[in-house]
Formats: sequence, structure tokens, C-alpha cells
Amino acid sequence: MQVEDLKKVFRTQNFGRVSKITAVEGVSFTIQRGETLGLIGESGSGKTTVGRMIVKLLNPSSGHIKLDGHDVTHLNEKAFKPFRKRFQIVFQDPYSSLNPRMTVLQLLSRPLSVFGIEKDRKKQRMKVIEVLHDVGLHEEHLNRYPHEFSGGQRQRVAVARALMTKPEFIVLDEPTSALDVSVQAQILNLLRQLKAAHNLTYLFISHDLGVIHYMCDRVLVMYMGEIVESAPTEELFTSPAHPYTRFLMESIPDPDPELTNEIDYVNKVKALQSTYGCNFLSRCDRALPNCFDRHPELVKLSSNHLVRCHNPLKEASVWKRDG
Amino acid sequence: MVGFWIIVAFIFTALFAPWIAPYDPSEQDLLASLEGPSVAHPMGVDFFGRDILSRVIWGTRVSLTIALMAVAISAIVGALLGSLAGFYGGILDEVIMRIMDVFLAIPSILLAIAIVAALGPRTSNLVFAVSLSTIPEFARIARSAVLVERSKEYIEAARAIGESRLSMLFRYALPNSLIPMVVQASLRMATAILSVSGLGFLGLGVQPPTPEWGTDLSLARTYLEIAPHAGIFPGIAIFLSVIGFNFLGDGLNEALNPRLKDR
Amino acid sequence: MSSVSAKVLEIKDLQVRFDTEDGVVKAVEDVNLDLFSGEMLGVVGETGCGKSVTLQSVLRLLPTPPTRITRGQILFHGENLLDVSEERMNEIRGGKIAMIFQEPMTSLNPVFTIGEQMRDVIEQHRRVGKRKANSIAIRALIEVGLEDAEVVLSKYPHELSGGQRQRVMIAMALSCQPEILIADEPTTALDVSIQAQILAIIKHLRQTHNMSVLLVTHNLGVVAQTCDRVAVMYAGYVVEKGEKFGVLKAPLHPYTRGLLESIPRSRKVRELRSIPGSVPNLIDPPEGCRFHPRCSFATEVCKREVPILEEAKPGHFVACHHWRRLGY
Repeated sequence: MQVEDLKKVFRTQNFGRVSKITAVEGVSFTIQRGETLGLIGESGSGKTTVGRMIVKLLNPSSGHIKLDGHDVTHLNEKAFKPFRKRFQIVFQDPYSSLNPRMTVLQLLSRPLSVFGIEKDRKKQRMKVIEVLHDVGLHEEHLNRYPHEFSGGQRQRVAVARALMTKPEFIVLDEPTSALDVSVQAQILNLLRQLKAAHNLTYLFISHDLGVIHYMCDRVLVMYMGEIVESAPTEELFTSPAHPYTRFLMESIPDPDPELTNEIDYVNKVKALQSTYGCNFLSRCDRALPNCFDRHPELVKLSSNHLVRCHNPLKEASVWKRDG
Repeated sequence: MVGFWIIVAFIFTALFAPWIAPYDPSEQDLLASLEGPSVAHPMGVDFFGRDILSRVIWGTRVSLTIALMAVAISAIVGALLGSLAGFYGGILDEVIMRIMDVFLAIPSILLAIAIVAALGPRTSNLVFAVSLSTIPEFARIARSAVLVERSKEYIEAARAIGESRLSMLFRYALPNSLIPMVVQASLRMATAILSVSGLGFLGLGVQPPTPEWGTDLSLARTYLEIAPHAGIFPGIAIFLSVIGFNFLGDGLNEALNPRLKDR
Repeated sequence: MSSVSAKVLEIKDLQVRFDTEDGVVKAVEDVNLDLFSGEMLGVVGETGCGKSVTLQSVLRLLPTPPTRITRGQILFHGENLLDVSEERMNEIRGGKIAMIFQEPMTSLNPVFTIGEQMRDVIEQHRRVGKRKANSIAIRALIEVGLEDAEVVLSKYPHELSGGQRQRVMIAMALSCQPEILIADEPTTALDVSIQAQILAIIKHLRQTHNMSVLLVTHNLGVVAQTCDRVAVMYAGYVVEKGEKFGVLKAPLHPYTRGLLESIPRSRKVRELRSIPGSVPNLIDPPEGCRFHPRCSFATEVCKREVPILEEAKPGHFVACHHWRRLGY
């Protein structure tokens, strides 16, 4: 899949005043078949918007999306339908992404009916059961409604639904963020397993570095609508180049009490969107005069490591160890 | 629950009227005219010598049937219009809702009077008149319910598996919007009964000799001082049925709404 | 650190039940927790473990039907908070024991400005006039890092960001100089970067104000980085508690161990081991040790008897029949 210069501007109306918010600005990347690309960022980074645009749940304001070589950016719903079969999505909230009035059987049979994959009721049921087993659920769950399940189980149903059409690619939008830690581990392992078994390609969106590290081959770091760093996972974690990436890593509390990270809490400055310079200016401690005037472009640090910064980091590991 | 049982009682009465009513409601016993409640006539007799109890019982049929038909029609039409407006939005939404606003601006009783006066007091016209003023209410409810559902994630998920917009509306959004509709239906039954009775009272409703609470009330008005029972009992019937539906509506609201709130 | 200090809060044998349509929810079973002066105690657990219920019971915030506190005492300097009058509770709430919640948007009244809300609280608890209350409010806001305090006071909650609102909450809590600060998932709804700042603020203020903090969260990382002692809860019970280094580096309870192993670290990546099964239904929980259906060490005795908290090492308590087998 290829995404070129994607941009999304939202118009909001507040008592007659129309304001524009640029959620995504000039995002480009490719995803190779079989890899898991991670998209990490906090709220407002635009990562969810990108995820939605790729499966055309939102239409980009400008830019191109190419799925398997085909430019799908301007296709209408009907023309895009065959792609939907192959490019699926799993949402974050297992409580609201399933229709509360449909049983598991109905929920999972719909994709089969809609895409005309299988119309016969009996055969549909069989296919549904097969996929249910794949995600670790059982036949007895078929006639239950979503509210009868736990969060983890609902998410399994959501994954099953995405699998019904035998897709090649799945966008996973924070699939475990709403789940308990122990359940999260189960779902992550399940996703890895399914990827291997069904030859899938993933776009994994999250704000959790640990999860990204566990699941992804390559990572894109987003900040205020732009990609600020792109690198293979290991490299990103051992030598992050962008100050924001380092900032993220330092901010995440590690469950190991021996590893501390000092944070200057007196960080009072609000994040402002500067017109000319770098977006990260207000929180950056490495700012050069250049950072105020020119918006940094993505620069290659090595063949597969890109960073959007005038003064990227060069040192390795950011963690301090006590003793 | 109270409401539920009251309504059940009324429905029962309506269904089994021919067997429960002690007299034929049109049967006149002029000698007994305007007699108060007695063993022979537990609710008394009206001006024309007709047994009030029987008239009240048969009246249940009339009121309930008309109200039911009116509410059913307006619910279906209103729901359709409202959900289309809510789901598709844009110009369709504007057009439909402005039309609804027009009807809402006109007091329902006036609208009903106008229609019946223009078209004549046939039952079908009554149903039409009462339903017309109720349609906007349902449209509103349906529209807001659908609006709420529309922004929920499972609708997006439906898009992702390729559902058409119409399908999303009918298969996903609408079923989840039913609860406020059901509650509203019960409450509207109360209003409808009031409208029917109101029209009857004004002489525009069901025509005599058909027993109807409103018309009977109107008849009794003249003689209220000497024969209050002739007015009291139909009045109580109206009162109880309206309260019954209101309670039922409230009860339904309580019972059905929190249930859908997930953990 | 804790052995010499006084206990400011003691939760003893707490048992809380909820009456619902589907049955009685045995939310909190037999909780014993101590908070020492000047320390930060982290209470950690997943959904349904009872941590929030325990916290809210301290300030008697749960409506009493359908909640029933069926057993236990909550001693604040010897006074049993479950017994005192509502008047006394109102003095304590905010004045001696302050609480901040997860969603600052819903904790702040949207129709009043920050200034109005803060002054209201300060005037009530510290019995000062409006002007003094205002200056106290300003000082508190500056302390939590909101330098343009005057401006903030004039704003409405929706005009501030999530992080700022949480800072306001903390400032409000502090302005009355409480002895104990209870924080119920204060950073869960916030971005990671803001989370770090808020936690640092709490930590710093704890020192400068000599407060004790009871922090409830599901995030073990937060606890590891900010707290002194940890209590791990599961399905209504405290299953392990002690100094954080002990509990988190050498856990003795299978659940704690499982939890730590199932967290994906950004540092070292290894196979994520998940705990099989899911959190039990609290209306009909398992007999004996509530963790036994998911525990790989469970034996017959686990199915019958509820394990009690015993001191495995000095200051390190665990409620498990087989903790010795896990031994380090």
C-alpha cells in the first residue's frame, strides 16, 4: 500500500464561526506485504485519522491512496467495495464497535452476505464457526449478544468480523487500549498468531510504546498531523532521532522500579502550532535558530531511518539506570 | 407496572365489550332518564336513558381503536421521515424537518378541528386528523435517536464491511432507536385519546349514537348540575386511560433505557 | 521509611457489597490497607478488582443503597470514618482528605469558572474570606505549574485542556492542605506526555506539603515510578502488598507475576505471557481463592480456602497458599 502526501482538514462550526483544523498534513508512507507497520502518536497526532482514511471511512482533503497499485482515492463507494473485502479494520472500543442488537452469528454473517461470499445460511454458519475458533471463541457464543461478553471477548469478535472476508490487510486502531493489561496480552498474541496463519499485513496504531515494540517491524511516529520519524523498530528504540520520540520514551513509566526517568514537571508551555518553524518548538530543548524559521522536512539519516528535525539526536539509548 | 395493568384492563374491556356490557349502549329507557347510580345501572343513566356503564365500556373500543390506529400510522410515517432525515442529513434533513416544524407550530387540536371540519367527521378522517399532529413528534424522536446512533462506532464498522447506507439505517441504526419510539408511542396514545375525546366533546368526533367518552361528556354538560354522574364517569374513563398510558410510558422508559447502558 | 512513621489511614477488614437486579455483587471482600504518613501507596489492579470501590468508601462517596458496607473500619487518626456523622464527613472531605478523579471534565462544574469553584472550596474549608481565598487559589495554581493563574481562574472548565484541568483538580485538592490525597486513576484519561507531568507534580507536592498519597491505577508502570509501596488487588481482595521493589521485582503472588509478564515493555522484548481466562464475575465468584481458575499453581486447597495475607518477608505480604513455591 502506498500513501502519498495525505492531508485531511476538518471544518468545524462553532456558533457560525467556521474553523479549520488540519488533522493530517502531508503524510506519505508505504507498507510492504507481510509487514506490521506501527503508527504511534498521542491524541491530536492524526494517527486515527490516517487509519480511517486508508480504509476510506474518511475521505482525504488531498493526497493519494494506492492499494495494491490501484489509486483508490477518488473511487465512490460502489467502486471501492471490492477493496473493502481485502482491506479491513478493527476499532479501539469493543463496546461500541459491535451492533448491540445483533448476535455474534448475525454480526459475523453480515460480511459474508454483503460481499456475496456465501449466501447459504448453513454454509455461512459453518464459516462463522471456523473463524470463531480462529479467534479463540466457541460455537456456544453464536447466539449471544455483545453485552454478554467481556471486553476481551468482544474484541475477539471484532477481529473475527474483520477476518470473515479473508482480507490481506487489517488496520488495527488501538485494538487493546480499552482492555485490561492481562487481556491485552492475550489479544496481542492472538493477532500475531493470526498474522502468521493468514498471511496478513497490519497497520498497528497505538499510543503505547511497549505494544508497538512488541508488535511492529517498522514504526512511524506522528506529531501534530505529521510524520516526525520513521525507522525499523529496533533502531527506533535504541537510537531515536527525533526529540519527540525521546520525549515519549522518557514519559512512559516502566514497570521496573529500578529504571527511572527524570521528568521536568515544570514544563508549562502549551503546544502551539507555529506557522513557520517546527511544530515541536515549544517543547524542544534542542531548538536551533533554524527551527524558528523553517519547517523541517523529512530527512534520511540512513537508508531506512527518516526524521523531520533540524537537530536530530545522535546518541543511543535514552534510559538511565540506577546503579 | 401500575400503568401496565390499567391499560390491560382497558384493552380487556375493549375487546370483550359485547360480553361485559350489561346493556346495549344504544338502548334507550327513557323512563329512567338521568337516574343516578343504582344496582341496575352502576354508573347511572344518561339523558336518553342509556346505561352509562355500557356506554363507557363500548366507548373504550372507540377511543382505543382510533387512538391506536392514529398512533400506529404516525409512528410509522414519523419514524420513516425522521430516520431518513437523521441518517442522510443535509438537504433532506432540512426539508423534512422544516415541514415537521410547520405542523408542530399549529396546535394539534386546531389542526384536528380544521381537518374534520373540512372533511367530515368520519372515523377515517378522525384517525387522519389525530395522526397528522403526532407525526412530527415521532419524526423528531426518530431523528434524534438515529443521530445518536449514527455517530457510534458500530455504524462505522458496518461501513467498513461494505454495508449500503440504506442497509445501515434499517439494519443497524433503526433497531437501536426503537426504545425511545416505544416510550413515545405509549405517551402519544394518551394524547391521542385526549384528542379524540376533545373532538368528541366539540361535536366533531365520533357521531352519535356511537358511544364515545368525549361526546358523552358533551351531552352530559347541559345536565351536569342535576346529573353529575353522566359526566363524571366518562370523565374518569378518559382520566384513567390517559394516566394509564402515561405511567406505562414512564415505566417503559425506566425499564428499557438504563438496560442498554453498558459497563 | 514506613516503619517509624505514623499510620494516617487504616482500612481494616473492609467488605462492600452492591445490591443489583442480577444479584449481590461482592465487590470488596476483606481489604486491609495502611497508609503511613508522608508515603505514596499505589493500589493496582484490573477491572473489577475493587480498587475504586475501596477508595470511594474512604470518603463515603458511594450511595448507600445499593451499596452496603457490610464489615470493616476505616480509621483516620483513630476515628472510624464509617461511623462519623455526615457533618464531620463534610469537614473531612476536601479539608483533611482530598480526592481527585479520572475525568476532570466531569469533576468540575461546567457552569462555574475555575475561580468560583476554587474559592468556594477554600472558603469553606479554611474559613477565610474571599480575597484570602483568591490568593490561596492563585498560589495553588502556580504550584501545579499553571503560571498564568489569574487567567486560569477566570476560565471555564471547557476552555482548558485535559492536562490543565487535572492540574486544577490537584490545585483544588491542595489548596485546603489535606493530610491525605486520594487519586483515582488521575492520569488514565490523559496523554502519555501529560501523564508524566501530572505524576511528577503529585510526587513533588507530596514532599513539599508532607502529604500522604493513595494512588489507584491499573498501570503498573505508574506505580513503579512514583509510589513507595504497592498493593495489588484482584477480584475484591488484596493479594499482595509491600515495598515496591519487593513486589515488582520479586513478586510472590502468581497474579502479580502474571501481570508483570503480560506487560509489553519498550525496553526488553520477549514473548508476552498472558494470564489465561478472564476476571471473574463478582456476583458468583469462584470459591476459595478467587484467582484459582486462572492459576497454574492451584491445588485443592486453593479451591476451598481463601488465602489470608501473611508476611512472607518483612513488610512484604502475600495472600497465596503456595507463595513459597514461587520463591526467589
